[in-house]
Amino acid sequence: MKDITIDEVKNLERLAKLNLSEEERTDIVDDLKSIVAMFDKLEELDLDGIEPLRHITEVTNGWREDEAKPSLDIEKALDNAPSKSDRYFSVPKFMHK
Amino acid sequence: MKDLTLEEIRHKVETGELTFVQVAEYYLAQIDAHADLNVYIEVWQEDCLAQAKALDAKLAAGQSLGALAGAFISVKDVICVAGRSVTGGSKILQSYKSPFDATAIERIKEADGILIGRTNCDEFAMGSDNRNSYYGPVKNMIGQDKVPGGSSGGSAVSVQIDSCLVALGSDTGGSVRQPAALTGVIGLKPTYGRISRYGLLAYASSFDQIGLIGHNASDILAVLNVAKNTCANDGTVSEMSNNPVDLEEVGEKLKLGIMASAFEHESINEEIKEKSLEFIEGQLAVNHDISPASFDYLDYVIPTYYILTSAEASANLSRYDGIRYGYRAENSESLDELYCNSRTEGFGPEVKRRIITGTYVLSSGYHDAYYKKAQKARRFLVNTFEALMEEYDAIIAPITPKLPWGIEEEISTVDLYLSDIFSVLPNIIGYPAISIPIGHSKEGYPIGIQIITKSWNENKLLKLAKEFSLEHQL
Repeated sequence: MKDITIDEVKNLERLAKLNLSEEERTDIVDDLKSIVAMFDKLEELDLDGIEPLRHITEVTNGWREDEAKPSLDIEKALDNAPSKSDRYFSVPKFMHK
Repeated sequence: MKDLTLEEIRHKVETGELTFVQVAEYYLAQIDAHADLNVYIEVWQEDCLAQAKALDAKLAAGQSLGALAGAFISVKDVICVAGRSVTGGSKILQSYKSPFDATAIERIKEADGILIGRTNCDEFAMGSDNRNSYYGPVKNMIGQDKVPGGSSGGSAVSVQIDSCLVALGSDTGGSVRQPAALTGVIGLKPTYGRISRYGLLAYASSFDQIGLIGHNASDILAVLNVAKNTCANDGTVSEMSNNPVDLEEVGEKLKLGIMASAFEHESINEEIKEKSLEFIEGQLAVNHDISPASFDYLDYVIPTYYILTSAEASANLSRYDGIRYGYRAENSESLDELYCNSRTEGFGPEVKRRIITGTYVLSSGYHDAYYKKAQKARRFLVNTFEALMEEYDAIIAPITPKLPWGIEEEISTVDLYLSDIFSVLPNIIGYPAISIPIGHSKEGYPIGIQIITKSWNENKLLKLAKEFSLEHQL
């Protein structure tokens, strides 16, 4: 079984913008170990020379005219904002002197 | 009402035996009577009654009615309805109201279909038993201590309790078919790209497809024919989706391949196996050509599926950041803290697990070993299964190895993932598949069987469902 360390999970949290509690982190380390062990089953398949499949549909480019159309108006778009100011989304100050 | 098809309901309304309002009242009463099963997060009672009344008036005035007049439809909490909350069963979208209709919803409304309410589900459709919802688990009507399956558990039970004609769910790896099987109803996952995903909260975009649950194949067909077709807002919907789904085109005698490796699989429950073989030999074989179909790669579908879906989920769910909509954690000092705290407080444990797993398989050093390898395995599975399908009209397989399990039962994460072994294959390939009820276990739990066919051949699935579904024989 592949070893997965607490530090590795901390790094994944940083990448995924999550901040787990100590307990959650320990649980995820254990889960991830067994999930990845299950993933390793794929090593048994001979996949040499097979191209990765990236799109499941035969649809390629769907061309259309580049026309301007109305989009969601600002009022409506801001309706769901957890915090707004005038016509803008507001966020905590993130630039400091 | 479940013994009546949409056509029969329409006939009764048109001949004055029933009114649309009475149909609405019946369904709303069913919702009330089964409130303890935790099926609906929100019931749209007033709108539903008002629309039914308007339809009655339209009929009285001699105006023509849309194809779905008389169809009352429940909506899984991952599909956007304008002006209504949609939360994906998650705390992170608690306050979110959709400013627009999903394409499928827009088309159903235009055809006079009436939406009855929003159904509970696993958070962001991640789960196999509906225990991952912020709103608590959905219970199976067959036994309140049992799960209904998932992730569209609420959708399946909304049909099971006869509170709607058809339920709209979503199926990324079995989320419509497996709960349909565990609750004794029919569940269809259409071909990938048949119904637009515009307005469906994204989990794993190359697997996700809106699915339909109902008591009758003909009702599912009616809704499918309205919801399908190309869409300016979803480029993955194929032109092929515009072809009507017509059961008349299907021949009388079909060539059916029995996936022996699945029925012989070590994980399958004995009663499911027994009932399935009984059904195949006693019923399917009477009118159709059956022969064993060999597929030896079942044990590779779960790793392939979970690597790719976790990866896609980790990218898709990065949009929930607490800035433009959804939950925002208080007291964050910096922007980074705001992202982290909002997501950490807003997501439940299974969603976090999949985001972390997806981030792992995409991270440098592991990308080739896992993500790219799974993409290769996906092509290998597609090629192998496509070649197999050349010889058959459809493949028969189990849908789940398990009977409904206990709501309190402890199951490890990996064991739960592995229970999706029979249902993820059609999503990996993009093929349509259906689950139909074929009987019950000794203790009375529903048992279903799965039929898989080539893309754009939903008519074969629905024809077989019509012919064999236990419900049909009631």
